[in-house]
Amino acid sequence: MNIIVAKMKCSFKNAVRGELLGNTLGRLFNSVYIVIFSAFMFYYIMKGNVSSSFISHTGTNDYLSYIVVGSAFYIVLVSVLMAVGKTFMSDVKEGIINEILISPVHRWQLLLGNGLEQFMRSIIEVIFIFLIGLLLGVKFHPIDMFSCFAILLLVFLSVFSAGTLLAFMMIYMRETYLTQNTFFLLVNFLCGISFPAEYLPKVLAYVSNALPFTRLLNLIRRILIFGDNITCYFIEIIIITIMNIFILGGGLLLYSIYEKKCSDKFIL
Amino acid sequence: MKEGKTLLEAFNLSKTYHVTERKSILKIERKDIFAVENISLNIETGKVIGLLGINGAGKTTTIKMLSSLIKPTSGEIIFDGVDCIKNPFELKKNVNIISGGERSLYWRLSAIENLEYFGALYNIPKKVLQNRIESLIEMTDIKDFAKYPVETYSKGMKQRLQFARGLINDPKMIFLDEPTLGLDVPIVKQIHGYIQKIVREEGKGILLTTHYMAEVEKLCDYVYILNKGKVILEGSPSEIIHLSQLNSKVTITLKRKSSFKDRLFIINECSDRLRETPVIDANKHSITISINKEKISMFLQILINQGLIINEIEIEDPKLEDAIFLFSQIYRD
Repeated sequence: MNIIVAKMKCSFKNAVRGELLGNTLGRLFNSVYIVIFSAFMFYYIMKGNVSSSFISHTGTNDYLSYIVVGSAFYIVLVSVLMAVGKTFMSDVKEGIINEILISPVHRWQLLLGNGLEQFMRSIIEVIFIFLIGLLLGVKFHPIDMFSCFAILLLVFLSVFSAGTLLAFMMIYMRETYLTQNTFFLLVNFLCGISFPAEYLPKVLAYVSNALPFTRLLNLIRRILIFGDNITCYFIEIIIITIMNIFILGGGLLLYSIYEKKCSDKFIL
Repeated sequence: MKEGKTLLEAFNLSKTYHVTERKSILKIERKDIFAVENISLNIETGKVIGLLGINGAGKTTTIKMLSSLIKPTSGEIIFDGVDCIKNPFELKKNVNIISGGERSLYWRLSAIENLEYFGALYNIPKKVLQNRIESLIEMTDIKDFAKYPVETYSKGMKQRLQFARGLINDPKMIFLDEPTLGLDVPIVKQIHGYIQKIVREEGKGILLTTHYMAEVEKLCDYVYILNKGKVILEGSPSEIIHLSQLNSKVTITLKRKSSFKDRLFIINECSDRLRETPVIDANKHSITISINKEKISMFLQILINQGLIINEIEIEDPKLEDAIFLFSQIYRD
């Protein structure tokens, strides 16, 4: 626990001192832009109407609430994935990797510390997005503390698991920019962030509905937009959790295999 | 080498890198590069061990194997009785690395924050860590700047902080990888002071790599010289100089100017008996000759026999640098 908290503190201080304006304010402005853009699109271009297929796939005609939930999720996803993914790459760039690797620390502790720190910061952005969204006409059902906590836990598990996979990919490719943006593009396209997965070609729609991100996002929308009780989705929660545990295990396993390979070659 | 308690022993360490080289679009050639071959070394408590060699000799690979950063292809590393290849965590808890250069620290964090973070990586209890940070900041003389971000530090301060970082887990053994690289003389002296303190007073074992031979002569109790991945020589710095049989430079200043006859006599005698020709500066009344230390008395005898009165004798011993250069030339092929 000590190590995780230390990593969180270290990452937070590094981020705040390094990119206070560019990072925090930039993200907040981005959040405002996303909501305003969605509202403008919904009210002025779509005139508050959606197609019947959208209603049949999602069960709602409130596209603004739909996209605000998707965008908020995407912001958390991008923030945590980038932080977790770059954990070791930034240490390589800063020339600290030897000092980290020589210590008896477990890699997952550092990934988790970085992920948690970024998750907490991105939640502030989400609150900001939701507040602006509510001002512009987003309609959410109130949720209790238990549901809120369960959703946060599930979201963190999902994005952190995918983050470990991305961390492996980044180290493997020895590159961050292209890897992360390709990953984000795929998630944005496949996981129902701004449109239902059913709009995709059939094969992709099947793939999309099998991904934990899509399932989780649908679950969050059911709770926030439709006011469903989280306990009704017990099986779905178990499925999402199991899928994420597999991804997490896979990411950590691939990372450790690659690190062992690196320790034969010393690529890191 | 005076006996200390053995901390780390490496037996027949070898490291082979398998690389591929593209010869043409379709042809890839696989090659084995033998970075280190059958190195055995021993590091004891309270000793500074030097690992020397020119660039590409295998020093970095050796240090990385010994510090568990890379896995040896073959060989054994035993630290405090534990097999470190099978159980690297035992080694990791008890060693640390201090590198030269300005990296290895988070520049946006202060000295205290850096030390707190690196201390946490070793799971040191909070109270113990706080006390240790205080004493290390005191020792490395960065108290006045301890709360400022590292990016505002001078190069010397960063290196002193690196030293504190390397000691944060109170390691039994430290790998010093060119710790005084690019530093000014006063800072180098301070760093040397820290090294001597932790070795003599705290009994830590140190493995030092450096390109500064004066540093090796000053600090190292024993050195291993690597060439093309193999240990070509080992011993104390003085033993290595002695082995090289390099000559000392002896300069004699005479009380009065020597005559032509004296000079001729000295040149002939030195050539016959010492097999060396001296350089005589008649204006400065000085005679310089490069001879083996054992022949100095014979050289003085020649001068005395000629009735010359010696005013001053200056002996410049051969340097470790010259000895290592000589051996690397011998083992070049």
